[in-house]
Amino acid sequence: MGKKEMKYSEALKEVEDILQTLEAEELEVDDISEKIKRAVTLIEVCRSKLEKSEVEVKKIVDAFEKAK
Amino acid sequence: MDDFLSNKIFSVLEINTAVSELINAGFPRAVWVCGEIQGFRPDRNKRHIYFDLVQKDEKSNTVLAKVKAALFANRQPQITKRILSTNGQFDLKNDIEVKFLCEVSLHAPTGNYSLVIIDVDPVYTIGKMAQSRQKIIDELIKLGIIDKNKEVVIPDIPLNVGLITAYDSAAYHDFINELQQSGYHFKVSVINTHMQGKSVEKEVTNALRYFSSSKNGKYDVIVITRGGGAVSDLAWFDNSAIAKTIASLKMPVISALGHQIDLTVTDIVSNTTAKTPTKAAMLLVEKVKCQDEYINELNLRLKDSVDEVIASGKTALEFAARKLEAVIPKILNTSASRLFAQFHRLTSLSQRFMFSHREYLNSSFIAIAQFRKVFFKQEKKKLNNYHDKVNSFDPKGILKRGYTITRVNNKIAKRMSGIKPGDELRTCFFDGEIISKAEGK
Repeated sequence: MGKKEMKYSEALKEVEDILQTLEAEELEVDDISEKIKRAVTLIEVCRSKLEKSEVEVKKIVDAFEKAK
Repeated sequence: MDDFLSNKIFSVLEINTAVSELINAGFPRAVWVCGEIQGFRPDRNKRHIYFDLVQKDEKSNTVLAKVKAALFANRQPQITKRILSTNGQFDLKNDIEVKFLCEVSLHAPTGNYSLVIIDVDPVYTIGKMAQSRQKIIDELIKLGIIDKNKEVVIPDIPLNVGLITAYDSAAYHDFINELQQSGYHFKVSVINTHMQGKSVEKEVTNALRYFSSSKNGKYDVIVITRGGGAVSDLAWFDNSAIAKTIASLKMPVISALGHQIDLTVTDIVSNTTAKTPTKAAMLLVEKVKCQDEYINELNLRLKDSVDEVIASGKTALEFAARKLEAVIPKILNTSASRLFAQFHRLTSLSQRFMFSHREYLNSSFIAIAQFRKVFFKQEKKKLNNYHDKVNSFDPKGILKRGYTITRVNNKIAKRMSGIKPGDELRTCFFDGEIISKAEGK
């Protein structure tokens, strides 16, 4: 969606907003589908970011542990 | 007589002869006459000697009277005998006061009146000279200046000499030769002066003033000297003006006037007296030599003491070196152990520092590692949770339960009204879409 890559926190925030909308409002089925699609995409983005950063942090920690 | 004279007519010769006879009658015997000799010119070619006897005013020195005197050859042996008896203290010459036994005579052919000398009294002249000499000495004593030049010190190295003498005389050569033979570098300036006669006073005083004036160079000493010559000529140095000039000088005067018995006033008033020019020169040479030897001795002493200082310095240095040699290892030892202790302290401090920091780092690291685990776990959980929630809203879940969604003209048909027969219905199941046509209600 975004031209520049979203930050993890931004993506997460949008997911939370979508959830809030879903919970609060009577939406059209099509709109719901759109929202869900979007939310799932965002969650995937978040997951992938999280994984990526977990790997990176692990690398750093391992390197540090090794140096120790 | 009066008649005789008034009636008598004299020829020139007669009148001269008559006057001559009168003179002879008036001076039947020879008489003593005293006066100053002037115009005395002994000439070997002439047997007779003629000169003037002059009387001067004592104060103004102007001539009051003068008379011609003649010393004929036949009287000369007698006079010579008298002169010799004074051992050279007296001689016939210009400017001296003499007492002659004379016959008064008039030479008839010339009409010249003169004194014909028969004998001389040298004692008179000697006495006069002594008198005048004593007068000068008395005056110098009275003025308190007779020893003034003796108070001036002859420099230790009197190499610059002002010489007053008759240039090229025997005295001059004796003096110069002696200085040259010494091998020392004397620098002599000569002023040529008469050493007898009336001009002595003026020439010598001028020369003295010349050498003493700083305008004319730097002189250490003035030497007045003359050779042998007539002892009687020494009287020229019994001179008040010369004596006073010497007394006024700040420069030492050495006189060497070549006499044996009596000192002239010049000698008395001078700083130092030498008997001959050679001896005057020797005196200077001796002074320089003495100083030269003294300097040589000083030189040797200096060298000795320098050697001594160097030797003692060497000993002291050697001693110090030995001491140092003994002490240095000790100093090095204590220094080394101090350094070692410092090094230890430093390493233990740095180890402690490192250790505490490592501890801190480690604990930080553990905290971070822990935080990491918790964080990712939490986040994953959160995402899963969101995922589930989102999914729970997915209409597909409802479709699975048997509900369908129907669209007419791409719009969800929520109610029956609005659907006409023949409209295309798109029914969406959980597993796909089916198209049908409305036929009736």
